[in-house]
Amino acid sequence: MNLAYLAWKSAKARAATTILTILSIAISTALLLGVEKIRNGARASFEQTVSGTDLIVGARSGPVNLLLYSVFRIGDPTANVSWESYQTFAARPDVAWTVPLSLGDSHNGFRVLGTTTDYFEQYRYGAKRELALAEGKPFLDVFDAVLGAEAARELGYALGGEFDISHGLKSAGFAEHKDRPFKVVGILARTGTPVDRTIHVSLEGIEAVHIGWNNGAPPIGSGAALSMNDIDKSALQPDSITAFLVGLKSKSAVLRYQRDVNTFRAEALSAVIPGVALSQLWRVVGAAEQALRGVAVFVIAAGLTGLLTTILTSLNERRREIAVLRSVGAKSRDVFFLLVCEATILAAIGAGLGAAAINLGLALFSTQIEAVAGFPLGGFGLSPYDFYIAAGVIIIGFALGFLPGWLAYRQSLSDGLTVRI
Amino acid sequence: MLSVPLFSIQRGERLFLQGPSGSGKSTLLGVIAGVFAPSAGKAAVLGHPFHNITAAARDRVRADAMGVIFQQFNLVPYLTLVENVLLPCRFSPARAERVGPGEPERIAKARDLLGRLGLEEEARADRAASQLSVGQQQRVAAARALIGSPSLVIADEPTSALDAETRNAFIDTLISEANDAALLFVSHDASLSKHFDRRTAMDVINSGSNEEFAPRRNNAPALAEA
Repeated sequence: MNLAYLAWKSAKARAATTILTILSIAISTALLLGVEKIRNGARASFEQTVSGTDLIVGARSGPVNLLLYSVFRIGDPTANVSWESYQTFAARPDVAWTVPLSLGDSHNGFRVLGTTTDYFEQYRYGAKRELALAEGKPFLDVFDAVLGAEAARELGYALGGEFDISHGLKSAGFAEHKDRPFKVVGILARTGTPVDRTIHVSLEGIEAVHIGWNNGAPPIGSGAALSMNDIDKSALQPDSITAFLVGLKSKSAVLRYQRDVNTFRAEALSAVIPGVALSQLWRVVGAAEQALRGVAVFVIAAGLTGLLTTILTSLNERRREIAVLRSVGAKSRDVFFLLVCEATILAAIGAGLGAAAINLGLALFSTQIEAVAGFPLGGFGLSPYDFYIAAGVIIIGFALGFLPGWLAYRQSLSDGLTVRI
Repeated sequence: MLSVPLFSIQRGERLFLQGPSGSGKSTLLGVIAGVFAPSAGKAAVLGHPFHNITAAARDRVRADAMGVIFQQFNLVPYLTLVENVLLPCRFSPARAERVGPGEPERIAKARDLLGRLGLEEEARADRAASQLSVGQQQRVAAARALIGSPSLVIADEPTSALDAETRNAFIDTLISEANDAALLFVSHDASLSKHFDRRTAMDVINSGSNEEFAPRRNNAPALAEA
């Protein structure tokens, strides 16, 4: 269309302000979409992480906290579950399977999880998918380790590689268990869950590392000299674990089992249903999400205000240009639509650029973002939401164009063919 | 108040209208060009009753059959010379059709016309309008006013930014290229009237007082080109 061409040429002639205006709209659109994408990605990832587990049992604490540290490896457990309590609840007749989880150690920033081989058989993620080994086999020996896909990739470890683990969750270099190296025997296929960033060892492995340690302090004297051969494997029965996952034979037993855990007299324990805990989590973070979204919306408003400012300030210097267009036959309504066109074009380019940039950026840097976040983000890629937001920005840009359009229309009516400045 | 009992220009006529600034000529030209409506009386322009039709209809007549040249700042700075010349074609399909059946023919026509106005090289390079001298810009404006055989060309002080030598050359070219079009040439400089068939002056045709005329409140029963 003629007017769109003229509007575009006019905007191009004022390249600097046009580019800045487009940029501010692009950045604000990208911000809003980015907040939404990371939010959805985190949700999708969290929803994907655990499935097929009926209950998670840990020391008494809030359900959200228990869920976060046991499954998502975020935060720290408040207390442990004694081995006896675990045995009590694992041996119940309504239990199909249990998987013990023992956390607290790390290697180069990757959490080390002590568990049993049941983990590889019972743990489910996404749509009830099983864990699969990309290479090697599950751990058999005390010092065998199975790495998550991302841990193996980032650490650069292959099958047969050896490494030490450090106590606590800080990065390497802090109270390392150097005398007891672990050997990589298996690498898991990628799951898109925190499993990818976890190093799995046997419960006995975790115990062996801590032999001779007292109250979190490294062993002194003879303990330090303890070699791998000295360790009596039968003495590696753990005293306690961090939490355990429970699969029940029948879904109808879930509430009863949960009540029995929560009212267990011998030890203060909590049992949470993963789905229920997740919805509590969303309620907690919902307010923060709303705040973030609110900020992003205001940034868009600022970007669009910039658009309006740019066009309004250009109006005076364009009075002659508009008089010329009128003289060659432009109707005063053409003048109105010329400015509406310009606002719409700038908003459209800005929104398109912003949507493209955020999608490209997330596609290119998803690994880095996941490393910072500590959990995988799923569900990136163009979504209908992108189109709604982009369309919304364009429609608002179009509507904002009415103001300069109307002013120019009025101006052109009073100016006629001669502009007196 | 601008009040024009009778003002007319014939087809193909070259009319010189003399008037100092503030004499109401901008308003009169605005009425003839169709951007203002007369507050009372009649204005028949190119057979259209401008006092009686919508602003959009007047705009269409202007796009189809008129050319306007201003004192200065005639060109849209972000368009090239040829785009400036072909600007009326964007607003009038009929005029575009008269210039040529397709874009390439129209561009050739515009270059041709610019060449006859002494801007051959500039047209070929398709310079941006802002790269031209004032005299060159006025010639481009003339080409735009003349493209597509208009019936009426309105020139409002088109030479006041030019020096004496280019001024005469410009007027001669304008008159010879106007062909069948009526040419209404407005200037405060009475010495230019020698180029024209007929001359008149604002104070002759205006019976209202000069001081307090205002756009859109004039009483101008102008009869332009019956």
